[in-house]
Amino acid sequence: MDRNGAIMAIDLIFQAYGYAVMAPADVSFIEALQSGKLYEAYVLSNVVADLVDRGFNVTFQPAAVGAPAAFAFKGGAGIIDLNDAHFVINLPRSQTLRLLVDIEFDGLGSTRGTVADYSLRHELDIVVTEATAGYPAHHEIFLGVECKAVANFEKSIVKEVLGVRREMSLLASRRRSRLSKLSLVPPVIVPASPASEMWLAYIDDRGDDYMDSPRQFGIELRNLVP
Amino acid sequence: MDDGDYRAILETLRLRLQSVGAVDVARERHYQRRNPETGELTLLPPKEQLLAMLDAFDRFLSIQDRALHDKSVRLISEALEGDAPERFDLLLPSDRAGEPRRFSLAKAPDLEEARLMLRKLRGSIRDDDGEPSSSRGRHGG
Repeated sequence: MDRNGAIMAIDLIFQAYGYAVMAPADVSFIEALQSGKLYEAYVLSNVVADLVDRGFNVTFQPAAVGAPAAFAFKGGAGIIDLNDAHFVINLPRSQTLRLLVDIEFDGLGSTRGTVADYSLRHELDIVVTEATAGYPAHHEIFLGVECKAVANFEKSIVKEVLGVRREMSLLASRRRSRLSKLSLVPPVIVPASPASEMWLAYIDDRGDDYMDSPRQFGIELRNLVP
Repeated sequence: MDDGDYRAILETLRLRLQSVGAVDVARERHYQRRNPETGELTLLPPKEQLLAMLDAFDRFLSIQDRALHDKSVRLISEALEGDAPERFDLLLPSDRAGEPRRFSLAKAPDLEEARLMLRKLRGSIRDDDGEPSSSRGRHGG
C-alpha cells in the first residue's frame, strides 16, 4: 500500500461509517452512543456477571410500564425509581439490594456541614444500593461504577474518579467490603469507611498505567474492552 | 512509505475524524510522550502516531457498534438463570414533560464493514517496509 492507497482506504472507511450512522437518522442518538451509553450497557452486563460469579442471586425486574423486555438507560442521572427496570440482588433473610443505573447520590460532604448547592450530589453510572427511593446517601452505596468510553484515556479521569470516591467514603484501615461480607467468595478488601467498592471501567488499555494510586483508595480499574 | 507519507495520511485522518465528531480522537496531545528524565514532550514518530490514532478510532467505533449491544445482551442472559433483558433502550429528554424519547440501542449502527476495513488498513500500515511512497507526487509530498 502507498500513500494514495491509504488515503483512499480512509475515505472508504469514513464513507462506510457515514452510511451506517445515517440509518438510525437521529443526531441525539448518535451523540449519546458516542458519549458511551452503549458502553454502559456492556459494563452493566459485566457487573451482573461479576455479581453472579461472586455467588449472588440476581434477578431482572422489568419496568412497571412500557417495554417489559427492555432495560432502559437515561440521558442523565437522577433518583431511584423502582418502577424503572433494574436488577434485584436477593440476600438471605429477605434482604435485598438493587442494581440500578444513572443515579445521583448525596455525597459525604453533606454530612459534615451545610451543603445546599450543586455540589451536594454526584453521579454514578451504575450502583448497587440498599436504598429504594430518591437519592441514596453515600453510606447506602455498596458498589459504584464509573464508565469511561473515551478512546484515549487521560489522567484527568483518575482525578475525577478520586473526587467521586472522596464523596462516597473516608479513607480508613483495610477491611472486607460490605458487599463481599454478603457473598461467599472472594473477599474484597477496601480501605474505606463505609466499606463500599468502586470500579472505574474504561476501553483504552492505557488506563492500566494509572492503577496503583487509585487502588490505595479502594478504586478498582477494569479495562473492559468491547 | 516514509515519514512524509505518514504525515500526509495522518492529516487526512485527522480531518475526517473532526468531520464526524471524533475531535478528541484527532487531538495531537494524545499522541505525545514525556521523557521522564528531562520532562520533555515529543510527538510519537509519524508511523506510530498513525497506528495509535487508528486504534483510538477503532475504540471510538466500537462503542457505537450494534455488535456491542448484542454482545451485552448475550453476556447478561448467560449470567442470569431466569429472565433477562432482551434489549437495551435509551431514554432522552423531550420538549414535552413526562414523555422521554425512547431509542432502542439494538438499532445502533452496524459498523462491521467499517471496522473490518479499518483493521485491514492498520495491518497494511503496520507491515509497511518504510520505503518512500512511489505516488507521492500526486499529493505534493
